Amino acid sequence: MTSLLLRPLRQLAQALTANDSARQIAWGFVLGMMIGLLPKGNLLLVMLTMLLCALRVNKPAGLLAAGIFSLVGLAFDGVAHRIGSLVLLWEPARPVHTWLYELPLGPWMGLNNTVVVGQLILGLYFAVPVYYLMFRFARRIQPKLSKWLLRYRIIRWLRGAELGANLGVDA
Amino acid sequence: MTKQSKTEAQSQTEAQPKTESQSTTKTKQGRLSKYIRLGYVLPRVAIVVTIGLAVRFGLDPTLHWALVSGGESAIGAKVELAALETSLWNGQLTIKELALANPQSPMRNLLEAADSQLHLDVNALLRGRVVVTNGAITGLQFDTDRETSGALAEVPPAEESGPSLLDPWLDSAGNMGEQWFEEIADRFDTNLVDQLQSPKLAQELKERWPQQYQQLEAQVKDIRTRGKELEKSIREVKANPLRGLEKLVELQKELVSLQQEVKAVQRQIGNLPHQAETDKQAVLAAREQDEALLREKLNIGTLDGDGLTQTLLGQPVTEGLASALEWVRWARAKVPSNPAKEKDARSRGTTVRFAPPQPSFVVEGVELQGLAQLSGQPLELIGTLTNASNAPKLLPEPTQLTLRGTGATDLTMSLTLDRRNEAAHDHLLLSCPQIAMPARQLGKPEKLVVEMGEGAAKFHIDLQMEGDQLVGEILFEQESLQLTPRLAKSPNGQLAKTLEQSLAGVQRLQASVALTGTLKKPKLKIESDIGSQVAAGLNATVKRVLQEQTDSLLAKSRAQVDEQLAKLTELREQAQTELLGQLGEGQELLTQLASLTGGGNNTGLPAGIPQLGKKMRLGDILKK
Repeated sequence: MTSLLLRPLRQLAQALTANDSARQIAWGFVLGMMIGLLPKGNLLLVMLTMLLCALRVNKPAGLLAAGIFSLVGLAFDGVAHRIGSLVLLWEPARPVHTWLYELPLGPWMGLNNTVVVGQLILGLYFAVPVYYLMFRFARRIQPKLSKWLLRYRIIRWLRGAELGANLGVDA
Repeated sequence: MTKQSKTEAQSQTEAQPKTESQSTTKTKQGRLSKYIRLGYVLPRVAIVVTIGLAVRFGLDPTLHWALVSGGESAIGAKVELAALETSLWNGQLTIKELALANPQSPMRNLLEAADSQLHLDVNALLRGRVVVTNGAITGLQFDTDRETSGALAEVPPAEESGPSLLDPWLDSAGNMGEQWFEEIADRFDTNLVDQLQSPKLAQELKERWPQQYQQLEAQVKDIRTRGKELEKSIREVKANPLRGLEKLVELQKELVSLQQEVKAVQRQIGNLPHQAETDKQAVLAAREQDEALLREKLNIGTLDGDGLTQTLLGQPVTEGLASALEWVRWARAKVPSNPAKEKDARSRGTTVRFAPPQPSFVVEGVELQGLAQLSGQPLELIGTLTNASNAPKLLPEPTQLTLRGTGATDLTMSLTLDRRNEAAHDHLLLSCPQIAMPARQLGKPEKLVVEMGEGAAKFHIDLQMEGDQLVGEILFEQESLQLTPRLAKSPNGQLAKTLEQSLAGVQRLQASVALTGTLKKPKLKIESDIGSQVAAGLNATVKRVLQEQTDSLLAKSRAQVDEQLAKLTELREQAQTELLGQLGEGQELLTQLASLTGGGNNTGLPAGIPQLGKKMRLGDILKK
């Protein structure tokens, strides 16, 4: 029970002090950003979430990004809708959209929704700069931050608890 | 080199490639695990495999349950099936021994299907749609017996079982011909002789007149007796006038009284001719009334051919039709007319449609094979069902069911259910060029029944329903008819014989039923030559027979009355002559007595009774 309650804090501590590479943190954050931006309830989101969990990327960073961009994404809904409408209603692309829709499981992918498509495009558009920024952040700031944070017993304890949890020892 | 060192060398040589392969595997695993969290993926893969296995082995029971519960809620009666097998890989669905109970008759099945092999479109399944591309339903049977009740435990409140759709029409149609038959049966079966007044009056006179004559005769005899007694008394007083002076006065008074009685009787006899004339006039008036009555009874309305057609064919047609229309209403209520319910729109953004909306359940085409009963004979059915769906409005083609029956008879049926427009449009075509018809009865057993012998018939049904409006026509034709009438009233009476003669000429029955109105309030008009044929024969025969009956009755009544009157006239003349003769004798005696008493002819009596008869000329009066 305690483990469950402390899990978010543990993951935050793990994200900031983990020994994952900067690349893993950046990829995790990018995937999390895309998950956060996309409206929920479609197969695309499930696939991205599975990728986040299955790929060896920094999961806490991804979850953190997902949480942040879920809130940020709401603010971009209007823009996303306009972008999605432009793309979906662009007549030359119509056969492609139809083909995608007609694919098996196509109707559940959500690729015929303006906001889903708009947010996906926004996510893809911002993926490269966000990856770059996160990569730099992770490489430069994260070791220092980690070192600084690890001076605190609570962080060490949370990190240890996280490692213990991973090894099956409840905090 | 020792044996041990050799073995070690060999083992080293063998172990070397193994170590290389192990390291290669480890390298691959390491490379894979460098990017993928196998610790996360492998348990999930295991879960997915478990779910797949659960679906593989749990799908059949789940579908079984879904089919039974969904079917039961749809038709309102039990749905049973012996086995259900699915093969998602091949898209094959097999249903064994499916039975749908009849909600209106729980001990019967609406239909049974021994084996249903359906091919499903797997790609469509991945898109959330169930599409039966083709398949075959074999061993179909309709309206079969059940061993257990098909009623559901929780039966929804049934609709009020009021009169059938066509009952009001049937009542009014039945009355059309029945009134005529009632009237005719009454006319034939009533003894009109009892209603004639002139024979009754003649009989009454026959009884009254002799009584009257006897009474007058008794009075005359009494006068004569008393006159003789008075004569005797007067002669005794005349022998000794001094002694009987006082008595003589009394005798004179008595004589006067007797003379007055003679006068009264004489007056009564004098009135007899007038009374005879009055009675005769009454008899003649009664005869005129009798003739008028017979003419009125003869004046029977003409039997309407249409009315007779409704009477004869109304019940068999409406019984079958009402039941069929009830089924049509039930089936139409079950056929969905609205497009499939759309999924709730997402709260964020707009969903763009790249393909027209499609129903979630479609049967593109299924072959049907089964067995049915038609007029008690087995009929093998082969057909197809196409474009059936839960949202027929979304399909480009209407739902079509075609069946062809072979065996006892050839039959073709085509049912089109079109829900593409706002108003539901259904079209039923049923054609049977030859069908063996069993013997049956037309009409109502409590009134008139026409028994129809076995024969071959053909029929054609064309029904169209636009919304709730109903338009249709049913054509029926049967050759080599054998019609035998049965009348509830006086089955062996003259009307029955007359009817039999009329129907002997009817060899063919052709009927058409025009249907209009709505499914809730259908109106129908039956047109057939059977009514007109029978009516024409009956009208002519009945009028002829009635005319003959009336003429015979009139002649008989007239002869009877004339004979009675003649007899009475004779009787009267004879009686009057006798009475007047007897009264004349008495009057002479009284005249003599008056002269004996010295009173002379001061009685006021006519000069002489014998002369009275001559003056009155009775013979002339009674001959009038």
